[in-house]
Amino acid sequence: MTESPSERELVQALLEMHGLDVPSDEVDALASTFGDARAMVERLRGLDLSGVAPAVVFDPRGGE
Amino acid sequence: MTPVTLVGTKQALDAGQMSSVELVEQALDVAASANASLGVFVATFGESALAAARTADRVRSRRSPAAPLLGIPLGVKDLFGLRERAAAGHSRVPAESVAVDADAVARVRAAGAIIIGHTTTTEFAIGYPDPARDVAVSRNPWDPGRWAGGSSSGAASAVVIGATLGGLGTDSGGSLRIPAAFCGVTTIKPTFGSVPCRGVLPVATSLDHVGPIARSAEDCALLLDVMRGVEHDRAGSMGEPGSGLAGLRIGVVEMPQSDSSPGFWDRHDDAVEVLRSGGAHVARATIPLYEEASLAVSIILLSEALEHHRDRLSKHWSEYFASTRGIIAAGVSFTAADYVMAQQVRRRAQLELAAVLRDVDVLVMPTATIGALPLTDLDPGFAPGSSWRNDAQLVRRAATAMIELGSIHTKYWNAVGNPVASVPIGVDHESMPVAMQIAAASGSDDLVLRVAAFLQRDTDWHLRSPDPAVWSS
Repeated sequence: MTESPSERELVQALLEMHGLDVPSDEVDALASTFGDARAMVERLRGLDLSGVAPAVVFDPRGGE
Repeated sequence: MTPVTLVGTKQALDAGQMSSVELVEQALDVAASANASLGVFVATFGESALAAARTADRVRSRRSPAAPLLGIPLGVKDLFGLRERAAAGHSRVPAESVAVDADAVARVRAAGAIIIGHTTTTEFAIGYPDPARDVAVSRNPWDPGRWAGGSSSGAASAVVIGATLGGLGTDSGGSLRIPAAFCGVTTIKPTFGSVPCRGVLPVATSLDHVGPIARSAEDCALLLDVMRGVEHDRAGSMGEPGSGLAGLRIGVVEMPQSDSSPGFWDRHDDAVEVLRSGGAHVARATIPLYEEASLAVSIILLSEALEHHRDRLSKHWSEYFASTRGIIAAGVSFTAADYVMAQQVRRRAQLELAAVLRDVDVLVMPTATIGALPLTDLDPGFAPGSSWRNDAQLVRRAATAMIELGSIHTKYWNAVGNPVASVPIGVDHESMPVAMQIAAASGSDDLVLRVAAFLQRDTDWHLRSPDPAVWSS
């Protein structure tokens, strides 16, 4: 069975995915806030948002 | 003696009691004497400002009535393009900007304003001051050991020391209201989209607002009208501030009273009583999804800022301030689905707030329940003689600050986009200014400013200035 990646490994991979080469101690620092950031998302996932359009909607008919 | 408000100075200019040249010379003198100790300006434009002042004096002598801002010195946050200087975002990292006036700048210039300088911001309106960098640190004129607030830091501090009569700033999560509150001046984050952002470096494009900072609500009304393109002969006509608030329904937003400076809530209650004395019907109110919408702003701001900066961040990681890169990189924690959900939360909050605003006309609540923070709270390296330096800790602190709700209550109004002013209401136990937000329905910017002006008719907190001896040493 494969072990789940640690939060640090996840953050390191996400930074790399965005092309960011970050010193190791700063990856540690960002990884230490990852859990709180995800908790924030989970809190919003508790809301009923069915049928609510996102606040920013692109109108393809537009043009300046 | 020069009046401290923009409107009062305009009247003195119109009456021939002073000239624009005298006014601009005085503003440049204050700017020069304050800049080393307070970090107000990134750059000043003395020569072009004085040339514009001479022109303004000639025009005023020939034409009546004068354009609404003729000969008035303003500061502009270093996020707006100016014809004198491209925006640099108070950073050494290259920005995508050219030396062309942003739309809002072009409008105030067309109304006669004189731009005397680019004012300080936090780096790209995102990070915090950093003692290790060779750029100006925005200090608070009431106590230079404290922060002026951000990110429109210099725009606010310039007004309270008299280096300008008003400033142009931006607000994506509180960046007009926080420095205005900490420095003891007035601002309005207008209805989303009512002032163009073209020519302004973005922070988070779906949250960015452009607005004025000045001494009084009347000053802000005049500046805002020009910035949003109201015809010159109607600019500043927000209604009669002395007409009282009879019949107005004001909701006082219920907030947790923890995490506040001693005495803050007494000042808040005093301000509410002033509004009640004007004939307003005052009742308690709640705003829907306050915490959720504030959290949604964090997700959106971090995601949009990451998108805007990531290419430069990949090339210039260590050139960004530690706090700035910590905040931007925290955006990797969120997915595209999280971003869309946050925009849905924002929309739901907006719809539910609109329902609340059918029962009340105006909502009031603290801007922050604390006064200006000591700079050492942001970075221990600010302690006198300190050689403290820990970039990883600064990255962690900055990233954490973005996902905490804390004592500053500004983000909600960026989520919903409604107009909201911040008005000084007194000082806390350490004699630092504190402020109240006044908000209303989308498009009701004039109502917000009319209520703010009523409050300022009966109080003088917005007219007070710090003793120059405090900051000139």
